Amino acid sequence: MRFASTSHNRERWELVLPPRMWVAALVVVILTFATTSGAASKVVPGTFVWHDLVTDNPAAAKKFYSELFGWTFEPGKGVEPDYTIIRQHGVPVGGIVVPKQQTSPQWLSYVVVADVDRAVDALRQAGGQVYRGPINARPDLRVAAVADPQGAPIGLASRGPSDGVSEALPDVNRWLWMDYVAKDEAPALQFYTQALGYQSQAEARDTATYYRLTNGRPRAGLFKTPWPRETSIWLPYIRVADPDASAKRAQELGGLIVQAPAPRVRNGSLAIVLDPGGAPIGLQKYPFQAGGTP
Amino acid sequence: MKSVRIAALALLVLVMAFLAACESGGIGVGLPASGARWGSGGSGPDVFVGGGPVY
Repeated sequence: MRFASTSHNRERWELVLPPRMWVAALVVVILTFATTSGAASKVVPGTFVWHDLVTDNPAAAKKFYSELFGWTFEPGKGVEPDYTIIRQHGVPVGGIVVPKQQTSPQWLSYVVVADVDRAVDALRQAGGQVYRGPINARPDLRVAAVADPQGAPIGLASRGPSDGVSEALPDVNRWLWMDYVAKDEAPALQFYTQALGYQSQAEARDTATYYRLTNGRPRAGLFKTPWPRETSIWLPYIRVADPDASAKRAQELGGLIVQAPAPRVRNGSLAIVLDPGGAPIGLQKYPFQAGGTP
Repeated sequence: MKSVRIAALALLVLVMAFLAACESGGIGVGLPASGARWGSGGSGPDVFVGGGPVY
C-alpha cells in the first residue's frame, strides 16, 4: 500500500492498492456480509419468523391492512409469482401470496425448525399433510408448507430473515404472538413439544388450561378451542393499542368481529377479527392485566 | 492497475446489489383450497382462556 500524490495546484491523495490487495479487500467485504447476515438469521427453533397472507384477492387485503395497521406494500421475491412484501414503517413484516388455485384466505405463519426435511418426514409419520416442499425459497432458505395432524396449516423454515429476528417487544401494528387453537389440545401439545422442541407451562383456571410453549423464552400458546365447530388453527396476533377501536375499524373496512373485547376475555385486551377474505387475526393490547376466565 | 480497481469496485457493487435484493424477498408459498380455515362467522361465545403473550 502507498499513498500517491499529484503535483498540480492542489495536492490530491488517493489510496493505491496493489491488485492482490483489492481482491483480498473484496473477499473480506463479501465474507463480512455473509457472516453478518448468517449470524443474524440464526434463531432458536420454535421461533415464528415470517407470516404470509394467502389470498386470491390481494387488492382487498392491501386496502384492509393498510387502513388498519398502516402497512405498505411493494413487489417482492417469493416462491409463487406476484408476491408482495408487506412493510410497517419500512420494516418487512410479511407477504401476500396469490395462490395458483382458489383457496381459503388465511395467514400462513412460518416457524424455524432445525432441519426442514426431517421435520417434514416426522410430520408425515405423525399423520400430517405436506402441501408444498421442502423446497429452496432461496439458496440458503429451505421451506415447506404443511398441515399438522389436526389439519392446521403451518410453514416450516430453516432460518429467519437475513436481518435477524428481534426478541424484544414488537411495536404496535406488528406481529406479537401465536396461539394454537386446538380441536384436541392433548395430542396437539404432544406433537408440538416433540416437533418443535417446546417445553410447556400450564396455566389452569376452572375447567380450561392455557399452555405456554417455551424454548428459551415463551414462543406461543396453546388451548382448546371454545368454538366447537372450528378446526384447529394457528392464530397470529397483532399488537394494537386499543383492541376495541381496532376491531370496530376492521369491521368498517369489511372485516368481521368474531370475538369482541370483553372483561372475561383477557380483561378486554383481545379481539379476534376476520379480514375481508376470512383470514383470522388476533388484535391484542400489550401489556395487559392478566385475568379473564376460561 | 486502474482497470483492476474498476472491476473490483463493479463486482463489489454487484454483490451489494444482490444482497440488497435478497432483503426484499419473503417466502411466498401458496396453500391449496383444502387448507383449514377458522371463523365460520358470527360472534364467539365470549369465552376465552387466560394466558396470552409474554415479553
